[in-house]
Amino acid sequence: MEATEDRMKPFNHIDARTIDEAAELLKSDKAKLIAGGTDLLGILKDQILPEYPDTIVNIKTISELGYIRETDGLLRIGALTKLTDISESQIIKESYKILGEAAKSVATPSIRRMATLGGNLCQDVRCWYYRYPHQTGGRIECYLKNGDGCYALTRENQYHSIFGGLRDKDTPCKAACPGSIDIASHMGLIRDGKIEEAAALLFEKNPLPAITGRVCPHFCEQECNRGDFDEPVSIRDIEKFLGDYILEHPGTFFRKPEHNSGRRIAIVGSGPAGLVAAYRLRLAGHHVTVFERMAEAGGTLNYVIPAYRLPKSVVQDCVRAIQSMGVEFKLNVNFGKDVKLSVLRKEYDAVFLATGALDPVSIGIPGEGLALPGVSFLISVKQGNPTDVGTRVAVIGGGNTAIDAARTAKRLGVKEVTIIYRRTRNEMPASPEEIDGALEEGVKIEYLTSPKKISGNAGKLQLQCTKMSLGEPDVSGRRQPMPLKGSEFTESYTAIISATGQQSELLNVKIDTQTTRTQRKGVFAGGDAATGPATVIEAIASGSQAARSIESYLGNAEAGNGGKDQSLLRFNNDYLKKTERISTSDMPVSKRSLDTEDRTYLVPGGVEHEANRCFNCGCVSVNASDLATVLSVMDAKVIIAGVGKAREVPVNEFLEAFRNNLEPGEIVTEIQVKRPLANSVQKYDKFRLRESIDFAVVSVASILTVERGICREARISLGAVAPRPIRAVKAEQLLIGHRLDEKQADAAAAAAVEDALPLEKNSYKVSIARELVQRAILTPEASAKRGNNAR
Amino acid sequence: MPDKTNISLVVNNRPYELMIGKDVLPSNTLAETLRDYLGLLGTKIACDRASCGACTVILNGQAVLACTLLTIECEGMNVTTIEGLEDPKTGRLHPLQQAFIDETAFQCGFCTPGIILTVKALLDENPNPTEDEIKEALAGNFCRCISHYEVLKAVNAVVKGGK
Repeated sequence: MEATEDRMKPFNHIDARTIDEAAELLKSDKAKLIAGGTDLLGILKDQILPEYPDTIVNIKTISELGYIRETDGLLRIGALTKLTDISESQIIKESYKILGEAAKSVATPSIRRMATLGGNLCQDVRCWYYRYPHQTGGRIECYLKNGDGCYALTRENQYHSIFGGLRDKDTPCKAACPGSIDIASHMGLIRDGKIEEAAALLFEKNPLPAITGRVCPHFCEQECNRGDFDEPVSIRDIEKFLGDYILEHPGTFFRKPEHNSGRRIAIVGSGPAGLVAAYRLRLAGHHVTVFERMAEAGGTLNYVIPAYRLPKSVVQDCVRAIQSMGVEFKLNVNFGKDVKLSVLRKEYDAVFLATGALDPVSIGIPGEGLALPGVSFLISVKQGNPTDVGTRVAVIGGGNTAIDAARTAKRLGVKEVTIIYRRTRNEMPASPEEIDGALEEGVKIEYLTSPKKISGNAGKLQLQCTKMSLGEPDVSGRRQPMPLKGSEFTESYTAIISATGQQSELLNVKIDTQTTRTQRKGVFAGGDAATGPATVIEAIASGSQAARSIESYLGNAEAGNGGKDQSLLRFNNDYLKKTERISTSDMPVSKRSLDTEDRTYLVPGGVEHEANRCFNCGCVSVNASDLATVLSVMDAKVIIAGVGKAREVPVNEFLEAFRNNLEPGEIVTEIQVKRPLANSVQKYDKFRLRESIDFAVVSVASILTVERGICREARISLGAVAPRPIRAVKAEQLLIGHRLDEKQADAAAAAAVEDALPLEKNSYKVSIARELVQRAILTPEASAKRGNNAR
Repeated sequence: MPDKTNISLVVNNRPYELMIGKDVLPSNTLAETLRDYLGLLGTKIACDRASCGACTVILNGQAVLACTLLTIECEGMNVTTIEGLEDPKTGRLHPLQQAFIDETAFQCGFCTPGIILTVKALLDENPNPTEDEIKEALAGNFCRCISHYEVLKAVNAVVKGGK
């Protein structure tokens, strides 16, 4: 006979002989430890993980990890001690009663004979759909399994967290944002009424939100989980609101550096990448000089993006704010002519090139010299000196520049504006709302039309075109247009604007777009100059990266990410109500003009309304480990071994990190518990549906000490109510120094769940938690002791 | 450390030498090895998630769940399955097995091997358990035919018979 085929994904299995050996093997993130195996094998069989270990490291072979010893009032339990041994230990029965009770409450006798203390404490969080997706009748989205959303958050959540969720990766909106803006967090601050803090948080990642709040294509909103529920949250409108708030309080946000480093940085170009790098490097204390070719700073923001989308005043406010920090702007300086790179390299400690991508890409047709480049046209308009384009204009191209040029021409009063595009609307790179705007304003779009030749004289041009059909997708994934034979036609125009793409003038510079480093020492390049035309938020992210790279080049440590956020996510009580999205809209076509911003502002209350609609996406699973709850109330210590080192962590701190509380190569080897006072009353209460199968729905562990009728010590932990045990600190404080009568028990039980924030279907868990806490306070033993002591 | 190539196992008093990679894979559970490689079909796999008790075997004297143990981790261990309970010479059933028949302590019989082995391990350690101790020991053995009452009668018959 043959071995059974793998039902789990295949793995290597290694017996470790020592802790050091196991720790060494576990340094690989593809290795996983097996102790009792009751949790791990279930996970492996269910094949519910996004990634699987290739090696299982067995530590059952390390004999010295199973023991229960007490010395000087300190109990030490080896991590591999079986739960049966804990529940039957005499010393535990005598002095650490709840530990034995919790161990005995785990599943069935057979499981307790196999399962270990360490395994129970380190078990993964529990969500009924995470483990058993088939119970929902098919595939579900699970945040812990690399999904973007959480099935339980918006649907079935009766067993889930009542104290908030966990987040150990980016929300989909943040992940979609090239600037990695932590949208959910600033939404949370707005919900708490903290507008300034919300603005500050946004400002940290994006110093120009007033600009992106107006022009960003908001990839975030496309990925917003709320979009699958009703409509996405109006993230961009809130960004605009916070951006304007920042510009109204420039002194609060654009602060002068606290010290001067004495270093000098040159930045060439004052578009979004240049401005952001200037802001960050000045904040770091450097002397920053920005060189700008034009008469005003702002680059593309100031000169190319039409004022009806982004008013010049907003750009100039941003420039002024950065200037007020002490950044020096040198205007009307032509890089390459007036100032050479070699000179900048000599005079400055580092140079950042952010010259944009404004050189037109050739269409490659005869007579194209007769066409007016779209960018030149837009610049002329923003300079207040628009190029005369007559009455009948064709715009060649399908990107945002083409749409901007067409809409601008229309607003200049041109009667007929036609966009000529080779493919269909689906393939158009311009953002859908811009295309809609153009159509509303009467711009015509000729799809599947390719220009062939331009002829004639200025003011009287002929454009010859061919109709196309879509063939197979090309390298860009877009379907390749093929000419239709005999479909040629010619039209007359007063002007033809070409907007078929732009490129950087730094084509011969080698740029690492990840770091913005170039092949030249001390020279960095970013923004469109490095990537070709992209979005403003990408340029902002690039400018921030350049600042980091320059800092590290100058020998200054890069600022860390500040560690993982370990707070529980606060959901908003009625996030599940279907609500209408409040967003800004464009003014009616009849009122639109060249210089006034089209888009309105959020109505009063709109900001709060939208922040309330944010799901604050995360995972609402619970930590259902019985031992974790009891160890939390006992303030146990976790002893962790690593390769050649060991550390001790208070168990509540250990559990704060939700799931990834061990570094690679670390193993929990021992748990230490101080012996509770001899006259303390310990209780572990566990509410579940079916004994011997189910995990706790709510559990409460408590240690209460009453002397002469007065509570001297109160420790209460709630289990299975959040992704980690919750210490009922407020309840504990209400009990200490008081008699444990019904009134006090009522008050403390209410305090224990005061911060609960149940999901739609689990408010009953709050009632149960409250009841169990009350019961713990009024246990018969406690009453008896109270009686005895009172006498 | 040198890679293990073989697993030695004693099943129902018979020694086996299993080659890793051929006879047994690292991912095989003891229940799979017993059934598929050794052909001992008395050990059942039902939930396969340590929840039902149908796969219970006695490992070094303790009732454990064979679905949740890797065979590769049972090196040198002694396994008793339901097939190992009868007297090898006479073929006579173990008194527990006989008591289950006498009391009709099953309907479909699927969970019976696991239940009998759980009780056997209990009685080996504690020959005179109280009813509560019996119930506690069997807390992880599920019977869909609800023969639990008859099971208690059968176990009590053996306990009392042993007195």
